[in-house]
Amino acid sequence: MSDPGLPLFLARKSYRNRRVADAARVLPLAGLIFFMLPLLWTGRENVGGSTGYAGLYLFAVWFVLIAVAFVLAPRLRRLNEQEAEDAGTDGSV
Amino acid sequence: MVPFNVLVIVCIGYVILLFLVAFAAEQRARIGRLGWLRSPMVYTLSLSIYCTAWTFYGAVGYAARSGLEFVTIYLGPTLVMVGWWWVVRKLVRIGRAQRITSIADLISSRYGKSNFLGVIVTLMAVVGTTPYIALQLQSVTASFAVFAAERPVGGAFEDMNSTAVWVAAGLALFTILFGTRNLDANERHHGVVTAIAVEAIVKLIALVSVGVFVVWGVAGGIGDTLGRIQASPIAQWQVNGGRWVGLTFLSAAAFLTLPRMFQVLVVENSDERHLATASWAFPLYLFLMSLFVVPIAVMGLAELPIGANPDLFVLTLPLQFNREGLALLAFLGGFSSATSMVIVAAIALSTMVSNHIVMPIWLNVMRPGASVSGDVRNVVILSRRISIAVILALGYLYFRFSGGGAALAVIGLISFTGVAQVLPALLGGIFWRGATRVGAACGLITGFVIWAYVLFLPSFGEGGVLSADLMRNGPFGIWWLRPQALFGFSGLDPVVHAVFWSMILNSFGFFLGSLLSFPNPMERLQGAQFVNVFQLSSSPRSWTRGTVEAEDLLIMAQRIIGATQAQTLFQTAAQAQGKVGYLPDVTPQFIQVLERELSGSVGGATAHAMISQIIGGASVSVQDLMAVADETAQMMEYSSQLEAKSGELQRTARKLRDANEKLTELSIQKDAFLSQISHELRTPMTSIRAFSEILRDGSEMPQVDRRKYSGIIHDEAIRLTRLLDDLLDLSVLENGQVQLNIQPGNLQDVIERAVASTVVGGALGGPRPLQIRRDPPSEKRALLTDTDRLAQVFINLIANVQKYCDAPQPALDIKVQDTEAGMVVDFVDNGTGIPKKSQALIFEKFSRLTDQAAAGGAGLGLAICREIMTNLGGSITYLPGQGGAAFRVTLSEGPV
Repeated sequence: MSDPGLPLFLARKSYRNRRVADAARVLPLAGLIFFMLPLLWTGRENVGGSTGYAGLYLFAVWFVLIAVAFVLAPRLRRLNEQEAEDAGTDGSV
Repeated sequence: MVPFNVLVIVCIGYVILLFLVAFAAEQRARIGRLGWLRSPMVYTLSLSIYCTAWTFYGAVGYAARSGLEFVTIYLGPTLVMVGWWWVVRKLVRIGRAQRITSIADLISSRYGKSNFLGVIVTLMAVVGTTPYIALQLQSVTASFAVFAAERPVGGAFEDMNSTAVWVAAGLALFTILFGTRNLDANERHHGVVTAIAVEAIVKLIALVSVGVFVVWGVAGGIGDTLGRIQASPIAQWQVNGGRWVGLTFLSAAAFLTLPRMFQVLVVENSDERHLATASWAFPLYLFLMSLFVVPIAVMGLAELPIGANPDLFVLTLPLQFNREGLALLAFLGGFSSATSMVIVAAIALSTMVSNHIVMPIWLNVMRPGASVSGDVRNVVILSRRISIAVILALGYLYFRFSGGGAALAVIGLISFTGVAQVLPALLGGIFWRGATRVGAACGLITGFVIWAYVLFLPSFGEGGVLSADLMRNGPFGIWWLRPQALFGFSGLDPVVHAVFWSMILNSFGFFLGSLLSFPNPMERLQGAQFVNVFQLSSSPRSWTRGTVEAEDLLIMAQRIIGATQAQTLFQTAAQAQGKVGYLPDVTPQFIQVLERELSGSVGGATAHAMISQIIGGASVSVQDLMAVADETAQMMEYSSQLEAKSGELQRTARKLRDANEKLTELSIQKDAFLSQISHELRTPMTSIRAFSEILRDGSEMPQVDRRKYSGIIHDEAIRLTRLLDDLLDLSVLENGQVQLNIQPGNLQDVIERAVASTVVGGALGGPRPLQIRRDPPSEKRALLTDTDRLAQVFINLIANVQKYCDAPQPALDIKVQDTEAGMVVDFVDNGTGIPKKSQALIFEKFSRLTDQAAAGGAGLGLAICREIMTNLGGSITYLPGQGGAAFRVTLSEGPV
């Protein structure tokens, strides 16, 4: 029997790959939410509503987005190639 | 100050450098040493044409006016690239699979290669891009003017217009030289792309350098900069929520639909893997480009005299602090931003204009002889070159007559909103199979008209194109049609107002048009190919076999893609078909490949039109459509086929199993019979031999014994003869060689005869009397058959009852009746009947259920009956469930 410590799941690798694709799909939505967040600050007179700190916040979110995209990129590249092979589509007719 | 002449020299030197870079890259590509030319970094850098002079200079001006709002212009593209898995990946895959040459080509190809849509999108793109090109010219001339303001009187440049002319002409020259080198717009323009990558680096370095100078040179580092930002006029977060959301959406939409962005993002993409790199690298580029915008704006506001143009802070700030080298670098950065945008936009637009406007017109004019006269290749290239010149001229004229008054950012947003109108048709086209050509046309036209009415025309100012009265009170005084307050929404920012209404009504028109119209076969085919680009492994055949000659196609292809390339293509195709030479068979597949190749040069719609001109209009067959249009149906059909097949297999297997059981049983029967027939033959033979020996040897035998023994020999011989007769009879019947004596008769007579002969036989052999119950009136039926043979069947059946019926008082019912199958005669006895397992075998030869009353039978009786009935055109079957053994004889209606 299989190791009882491991959850029973076949094809763990392709399962992981599909979850990477899910992450890639959610990433822009998460980015959108965080980019729109400063709108909720309007009307507050403290530091949160200032150009300086709002700018720092936006650039921080931006940087995190880039970093996550950087981490996902190689996996997605492999996944994309794999899918292309599976489908037999190479674009060259 | 930098002497103005030095500036001009540096500028010209930089341009020469770009020419050399482009030329070197072309050379490298030509000899096949692509190497880093195809690296993901070059691809990412080429995307940076998104950052135009508007970005380079305008972003700072924008920040100086409205604080952080400028950043929305970068957030949209960032989200699109980070979410490349959603849209960009699919666009690129479609672009490569369909050999798309421009965004107009994509829309046209998706909606059934409709050139009408291609024309609409092209016109929208030209109208939307012209102000943008004007904007670039304006920024270059403005930056020249900054330096020129300081120059000694009497320099070479008298006014801004002449500068703009020189810039426009130079750009046209560069674009024509490197942008129309390859006819195949689907191939990468290595020279242009490399030059753009260099410019991308220059503008990034320039802006970052100015930023670093401002933060660490002018201010005292990061902390001090933050403090100054807090103390500046734009310290307060003053972003309008509507604009924040609207502009982010707008920039994301424009990133996908701007012709020049589509050109670098999709058309120039040589490898899908580059997208993965660009997904983080391009946002990083944007990040760096915007990082120092706010500090530069704040410092500009603080350090420069009041009234200085904030759009030029990037230049004037270093000049203020006498950093001439830095100012020169910033100037080159701005120059790069402007030129790279104009070059790519001109290439993209010229491709669209030549493929969707010039070529269709030319084909129409030349219709009778397009395949025999005129060189299409030259026409395409010439039309592209002229288009480039015309587009730049248009940009110049716009710049000249608009007076360059409006702030840079405003023109940019107007342009963005215009091209974004393609978005519903684009996204609908790649994700929704139900989108149709009519819907796309409705959406595009609606969106374009609204954009022109509420944003573009009002941008010329009150009294410009639209009268002041119309602007204030609406056309004919209809208040809810006021351009900047449609339906009474008067409180909105003009851009947000325009984006909102144009996109809403555009999408609505697109959706409604699609729902209410019906797509033609080509649309459905293309729709399936676009939407299912990741699933469709093979391309569908869209051409039915025509009677076209391969030679005609070769002649045409040579004119379009060039002789060598066309010949190679044809030769490869011929080889793939196993033929020698240049002329392959004109198969649908081959025409498909050829059309793709041609569409890489002249666009999908034109290629389709040209081929159909030669082939004669054949396009999509219903079978082709069925095969690809509905994959689900295909899968269902396949699985139902499988199901049917497996059902059939199961039935066959069952039959085989039955047959096998029967065969096994028969084989056993046969073995038993063989031993039995030997026995049957041997028993009389033994008696005959024994008694004949006695007769031979016993000479003094009493007469009585002699007679007795002779009698036995005689009886045994008869028995043998009967057995042999039966066998012979059966063999004759089975081979169909029997001579039937068809004659009219009466069923009653036949039964009478059968009963009479068996009663006689029964009296001899049966120990028990058999009671036969009949219904004589029903038997009075006329027959046309071989009555002797029929009687033989009846005799056999009755005799069987006598032999095998195990009831103490045997009785037989003979019933005549009519059924659908014809007249039937049932013979039903009152015995125990035949066990179910034996019912299938009783009609077989040599079968005998018991050995008990082996009186003369060899198990051939029923087999003979069956053969007789088959020969008479009727049948005999065992009728189960009648209480005893029951046989049904079915008589055919007419004569045999």
